[in-house]
Order: sequence, then C-alpha cells, then structure tokens
Amino acid sequence: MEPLKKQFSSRPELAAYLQQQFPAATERDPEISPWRGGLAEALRKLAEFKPQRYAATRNHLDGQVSGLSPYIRHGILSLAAVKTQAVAVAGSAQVIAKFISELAWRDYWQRLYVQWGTGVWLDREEYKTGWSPSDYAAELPADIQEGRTGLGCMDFFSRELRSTGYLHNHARMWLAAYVVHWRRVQWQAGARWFLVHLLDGDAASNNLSWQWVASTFSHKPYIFNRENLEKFTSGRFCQDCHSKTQCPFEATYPDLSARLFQIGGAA
Amino acid sequence: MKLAWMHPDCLNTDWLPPDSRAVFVFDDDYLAASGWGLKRIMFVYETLLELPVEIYRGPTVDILAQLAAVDGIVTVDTPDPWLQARITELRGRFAVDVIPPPAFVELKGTVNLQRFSRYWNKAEAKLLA
Ligand SMILES: Cc1cc2nc3c(=O)[nH]c(=O)nc-3n(C[C@H](O)[C@H](O)[C@H](O)COP(=O)(O)OP(=O)(O)OC[C@H]3O[C@@H](n4cnc5c(N)ncnc54)[C@H](O)[C@@H]3O)c2cc1C
Repeated sequence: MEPLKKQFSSRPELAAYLQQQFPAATERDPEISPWRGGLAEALRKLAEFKPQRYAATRNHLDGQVSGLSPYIRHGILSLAAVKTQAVAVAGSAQVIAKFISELAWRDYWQRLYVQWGTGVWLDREEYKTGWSPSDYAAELPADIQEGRTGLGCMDFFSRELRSTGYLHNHARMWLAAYVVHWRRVQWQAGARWFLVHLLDGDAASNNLSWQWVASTFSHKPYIFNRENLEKFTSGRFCQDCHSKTQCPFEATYPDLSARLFQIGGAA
Repeated sequence: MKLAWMHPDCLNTDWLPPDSRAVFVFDDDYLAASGWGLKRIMFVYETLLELPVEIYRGPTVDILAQLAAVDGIVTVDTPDPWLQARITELRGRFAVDVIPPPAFVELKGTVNLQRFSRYWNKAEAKLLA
C-alpha cells in the first residue's frame, strides 16, 4: 500500500495530481481556491488580524474579520489559541468581547452537534413564516448556483463562493435569506450547496446557521432589505445592477414581511 | 509506537502524542458524504504537506487496520457522526485512545443549549475573565 505523494514543485502541479486522484470530487467542484491551507498561512492571518477593530466594522464586507474559519474548522488552529492571541494583542478579553462571543458561536454549534449528530439536517422547529416545509422547493434553482439570477449582489456572492470557498458572514446571511425566503427553497438545499464549496464548511455551523436564517432554529426568519445591503457593501453591487429598478429587496421590513410570509412579524 | 489517526477535524500534529506515527486517509465515502470537491481537498492536502504525516487513500478502517501496530491507535475526538462511526468500528478491533481537542471553555454540569443566549449566560464570565 503506497502513500500518496508529498513532494510538489508548484501549486498547479499539486492541483493536477489531486484532480487525477479524486475524479468524483473534481466533478462535484473542479475549482481551486486562492486560499492556501497550512498552519503557516493560518498564523500569518492571525498575526494580521486586529481584534480591537472587529466589533465596529465586522458587519461591513470590507470590515476587519479574521478569515480564520477554514483553519479553525479543520483544527489547524484551536478556538482557544485564537482567543489567547487576540487577548494578548488587545490587552484584555473585555475589550474584544464581541470577537470572543463570535468564537463562542462555533463552540455552541459544536456542542449541539454532539447532541444531535445527523439530526442537524432535520428542521429543529417549525418555520415561523406561516409556510409549511412542503411549501419550500427541495432543489436549489440552477440560476442561483450558476450566478445568473440577474441580481448583482447575489450573482457575485454565488461566484465568490464557488471560486474562493469563502464568503463574509453578512453575505452568507443575505444569500441564505434570498434562497429560503425570496425563492422559497428548503434550507437543506442551500446548506448542501454551501457545504460543497465552503472551505470552512461543517454540518454544524453551516446547517444550524441556515436554520437560524430560515427560522427553524430561531424565533423569527432573518430578512434584510436593499438599504441594509447597500450600507454594508458601500453600494458596490447596486450601482451597475441590471435589476436596480426592480430590486426585490427594495422595501421596508413590514412590506417585505407581508410580501414574503403568510404572517407578519419578521425584522 | 501508536498509530495517530489524523482526520479532517484535527489537522494539527500538536494535538496528538509526539511519539506516534501520524496518518491521514482520504476516504471516498467520507468525501461523498461530506460533499467535498477539489477546493476542499486542495486546502486540506496543502495543510498535510507541512506536517510529518503519511497520506493514504481508501476505506479508512481498512487502511488503518493494515498500518496499526500492536500499540493501538490514538485519535482526536469529534462530533462528526461519520468519523464517530469509524472510531466505533476501530474500537471493535484495536485499542483506541480518543483524546479531547483543546477546550475553548470548560462548563460544569449540564449546559442548556436551547438557544445561544442560554449557553452564553453560562460561558461569558469565564471567557471574558
Ligand atoms: C448561512 C450561513 C452558513 C455558515 N456556514 C458556516 C460554516 O460552514 N462553517 C463556519 O465555520 N461558519 C459558518 N458560518 C458562520 C460565519 O459566517 C463564518 O464562521 C464566518 O463568516 C467566517 O469568517 P471569519 O473567519 O472571518 O470570521 P470572524 O468573524 O473573524 O470570526 C472568528 C471565528 O469565529 C467563528 N465564528 C464567527 N461567527 C460565527 C458564526 N456565526 N457561527 C459559527 N462560527 C462563527 C469562526 O470559526 C470564525 O473563524 C455560516 C453563517 C451563515 C449565515
């Protein structure tokens, strides 16, 4: 029994070798991300990260987030090591409480995963949208997967997901809300798609976040509107968007709730 | 010397005993069950290239069984049900040590996980101390 090769002269050479070794996986997703694996790269990102700026800027697509999720997900860095380093840089845990609470979300989802196992694929609660599970489509529409919905923001996120394997948290929330609430697709279909592409994908953080958006593991569905998306993207997607005069996100929250759900009350 | 099974939830040899032989197995069944494509395999493979670990491909338990020495197998605990099922299979055939990954926060007693806020109420004081 021969081990696989470990000496490569370049990334393209490694990619070609893996393509040949893993044809079924290559069929699911043939892309190579510019994100590099490895502890050295993880430590470089950790050293660059400024945790003091996190709380004020993290919701903006250009904000200060760590980009450490793939390394944490694979146990290259532990949550504890990331926290220790961030506290050392900031001077105290209190001043980076927001960052620590986001690290804690992963710990929380992992604890639920221990309890639920494959049950993370089941609706944990009812949808609070007035719709029943059978009102949601079982398959993810091709235009979303291929990034040709005609919506500048969503098409960008779809391409970004496929080509890099990473999306900013806010982009994940917007894209998931669009899939589940605007297109009325089961969260499981969106979750499966994310797991093919996300470098940090794991069935706990991913599925339970989808359920949080969908409202099957939260008190109300998560939705957003154009004003919110424009604000946290500095309007970059809206300027040249082909759908800007018929944007499905252009409305107040009460109007969107009335349009999307059979009962009011989302925010 | 023990065989140290590194799986996709622990790509860090520091989490395993230093005097062990580290092995990683790419298993088609896991790749299909987890939906992994080339992007993810590349990321994981690049990580493994930096580590003193042998990389194999095939059914996990068969491969580990062929390599396992009398000293048994050591691995890191994980909530992943697919990996847990392999640990259970291995336990039927070898002495298997399952060591916990580094803890983020130690919480005593039962933790109410019904909502994040319940967990956070219990964890916050320790984490922000
Ligand atoms: C629909 C959807 C799917 C998601 N799928 C995943 C997934 O498969 N894997 C994953 O790790 N995260 C997932 N998240 C959570 C979050 O989006 C990412 O962890 C975060 O964007 C990663 O970027 P970062 O490393 O720069 O995070 P930072 O903001 O810098 O946070 C630091 C670390 O804390 C953890 N973390 C932060 N926020 C969350 C969160 N809300 N939930 C869980 N962990 C968090 C991550 O390990 C992250 O690396 C998902 C969120 C949504 C809305």
